[in-house]
Amino acid sequence: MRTESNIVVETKNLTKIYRDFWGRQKVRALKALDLEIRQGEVFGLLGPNGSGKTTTIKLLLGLLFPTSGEINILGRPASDVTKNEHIGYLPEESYLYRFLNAEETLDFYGRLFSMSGAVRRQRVAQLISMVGLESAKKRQLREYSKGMSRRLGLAQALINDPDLILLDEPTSGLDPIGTRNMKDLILELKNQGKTVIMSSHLLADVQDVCDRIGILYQGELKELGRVDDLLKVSTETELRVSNLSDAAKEKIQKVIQEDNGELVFCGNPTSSLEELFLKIIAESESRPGKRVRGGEDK
Amino acid sequence: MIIEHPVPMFAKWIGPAALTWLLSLGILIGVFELIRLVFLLSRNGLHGFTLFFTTFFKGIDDFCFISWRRVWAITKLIIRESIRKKVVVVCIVFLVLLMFASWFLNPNTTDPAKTYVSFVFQSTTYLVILLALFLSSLSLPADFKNKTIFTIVTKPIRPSEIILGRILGLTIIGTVILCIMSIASYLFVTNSLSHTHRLNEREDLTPVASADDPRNQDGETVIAKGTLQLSNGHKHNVEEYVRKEGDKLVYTFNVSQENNHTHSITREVDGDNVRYIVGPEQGTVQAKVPVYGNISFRDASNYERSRGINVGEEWTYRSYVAGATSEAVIWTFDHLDASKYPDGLPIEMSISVFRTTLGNIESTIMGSILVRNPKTGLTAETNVFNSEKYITKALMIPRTIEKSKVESQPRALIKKGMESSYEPLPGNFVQKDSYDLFEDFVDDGKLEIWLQCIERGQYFGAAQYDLYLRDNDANVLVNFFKGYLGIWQQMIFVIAFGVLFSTFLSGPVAMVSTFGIVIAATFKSFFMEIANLNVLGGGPIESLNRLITHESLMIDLPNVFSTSLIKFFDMIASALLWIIGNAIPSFSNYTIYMDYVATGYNIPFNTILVHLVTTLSYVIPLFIAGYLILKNREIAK
Repeated sequence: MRTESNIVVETKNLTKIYRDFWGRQKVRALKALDLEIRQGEVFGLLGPNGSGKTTTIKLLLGLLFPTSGEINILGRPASDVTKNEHIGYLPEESYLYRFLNAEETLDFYGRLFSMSGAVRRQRVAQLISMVGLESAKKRQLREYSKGMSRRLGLAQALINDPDLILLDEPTSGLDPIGTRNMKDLILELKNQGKTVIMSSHLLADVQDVCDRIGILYQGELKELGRVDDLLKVSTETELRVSNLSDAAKEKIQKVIQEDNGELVFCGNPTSSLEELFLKIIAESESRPGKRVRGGEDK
Repeated sequence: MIIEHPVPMFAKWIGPAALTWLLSLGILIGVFELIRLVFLLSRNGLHGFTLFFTTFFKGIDDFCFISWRRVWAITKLIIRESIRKKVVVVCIVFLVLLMFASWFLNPNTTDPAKTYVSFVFQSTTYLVILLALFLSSLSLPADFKNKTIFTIVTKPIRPSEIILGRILGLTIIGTVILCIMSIASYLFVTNSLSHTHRLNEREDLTPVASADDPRNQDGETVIAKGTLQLSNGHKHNVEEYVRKEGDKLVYTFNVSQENNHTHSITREVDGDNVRYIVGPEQGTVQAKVPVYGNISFRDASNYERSRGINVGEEWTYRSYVAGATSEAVIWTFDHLDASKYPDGLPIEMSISVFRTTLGNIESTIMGSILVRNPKTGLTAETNVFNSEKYITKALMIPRTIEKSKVESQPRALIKKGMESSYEPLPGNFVQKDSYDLFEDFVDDGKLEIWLQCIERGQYFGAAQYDLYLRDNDANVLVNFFKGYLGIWQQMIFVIAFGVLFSTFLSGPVAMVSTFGIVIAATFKSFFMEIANLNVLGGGPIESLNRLITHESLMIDLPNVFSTSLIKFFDMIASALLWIIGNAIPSFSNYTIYMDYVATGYNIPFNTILVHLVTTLSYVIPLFIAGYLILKNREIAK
């Protein structure tokens, strides 16, 4: 049920114009954005590069000041630092101190939430285990790969067990396993009742995890709604049947023709490359050694 | 020691100083907030008022509810960053510098301690200030450049905590490095100056009287003369005395003062052999505690004056009294305690001599010291001395003063109209056989010490701090570290300015700006002279005009419209420079710490207290300014 109280983020007429040193307008990055994001949903901001996704997230976090319009985030204005107590933020790249190790990094961010020593230690250990960095927790971040930094970036975003998580391009720089883990984690957060706002230009990622999306183009919100509704092709029908005989297929085609329907496609579906990759990795882990090829080159 | 700008007493200074400071801070914040209000009103109309007051009270929250855990998180981060970026290399550079310094520093000077102490203090100052400059101005811009600041400001940390954490972190790092350098410096100075000499009875001492003769066993007859063997580039003359104590003969030695130090000698007899053991140097590095009096002058007509004669010197620090006249420099001392000075009053002075007749240029000028009871007027001439220009002279005013040295007629200070004059008291004065310094000359802890020049045509020049009583010396080691507080305070300024500039400038620009502040602070007096248009050639625009037109500094510009225009713009420039100049500390306040240690004086606690509070009074507004800028700027671009 939609009520005022479960609106976590609200923007009204939010506009951001970048200006040069002399105050001349350089670019209008965001134009009159009206947005409402409710508690417990995964909201995706979609758009090509330079469409205003990151600007929107930065405005919500108070990293940028709006040229006009209002922002209400967790019931407070974006400029209020106390709102950050319930927010986790993963920037588009992992902006972490390269001279710290993983434990020190998370301990540092834990202190910024005024967490006590005992709570910090427990939380740090838990998050390092969650992102799979136990073996590298004492290594300085300068030795980390991009994926490892990204995972640690995610851990720092969750250090305070936030109610609202903002993820800027969360799957960028991740390998397919990392991408899948990230998507699983987003769904897990959603199951825990958290609100997630993510921006991405990787449409498949958004489609897999988001409840609602907003599509931005040149700073304007072009589309907003539930993913299911937006992607539903109401003029077409899809059947997925296993072990169907050729005779049965012919019968079905006949029925379609009798009812004046148009058969668009009939054949064996292919799985996605992501699914294939993950399957191979899973098999390799369970049975080390040279893998017997499952298909043939044609 | 020359003290041109005496530090006021803390208790008297703090009240008015705090009031001025609060007023200035209030005006600065008021101006900033007014500009902010106008900006908000212009952008948001009347809603600007709501926004202004909301953010204003939130700003007060940002100071009142500072979380020390978050501040410590930033502090610890800065410390870790500095350690992992190998800041400790600065200490290694310093140690290497010390390793080779002894090749170039000459211990064979009149005051080697001054050479060595000045060297270690100056090199430490340069290194620490450069380090503070780099660290403070590059750290925050690096966070902006690497965008690590994004992950910080999106946590519930206030801008005030970010600034405070940074200042504290950099201060801790700087302090640790300064401590390491100060310990290394102390060891270097003491080790470099530490030496002893050899004294061989047969080679170095020549007997001049028989030690066995009971007439010579009075402790005052020189029985042998000689020199200590060469060490550290110098020798000391030595005289040997003997006196009888019971059945034993006790040998004592008088070792001459060379290079500002002397040595003790003990005599050991081993069978037929006599061995002399020369002790380590004494008095090289000192921490003398001077007790100052208030200065006044008596002119030739016996009138009391605040200054003496002007002999035409440009530097008006000292003023002069003429020789062979009744003119005198008078120091009045308070709170003298007889129990503290059982043997008399040890005084030291370093006065200027102005000769109108040269005569033998190497000869000294005679002077005398008199003591006077401020109440009874009883006056006695206690010491006659030879004075050399600026050489510190140590004298002892004896506890017991003979009858012959006391003037027959006491002098009273009698008010004559608006002025006072020293006049001999009428009536007969009954003299005692001998006088006690404290009983007869000190009244309620007060004593006047008069300095007079005896030779006609010559002048003595003195200032308030040129003559003082010597209290018990302070601890040399503690004084050495107190000296480093001067460098420490300069470092704090650099850190505070560096952090402030780094909140809105890129790293290199912040560094150059901070360096500009260091230059201005080092030459603040000259800077203020320009601001007050007291420099030959006029203000900045006039000087530029003179440079381009090759106009002499001594010639006034023609009285035309362009000159009026130049003067007008110079007025504006000087006003701006005056404001900037007053907002910048003066580093000369802190370099004086080095002078104290180098010349062997204890740094008074009052000076340190006043300076520490002054430093804090600069750091607080810089911290607030840094906060306001960080709060009101966009973190992302």
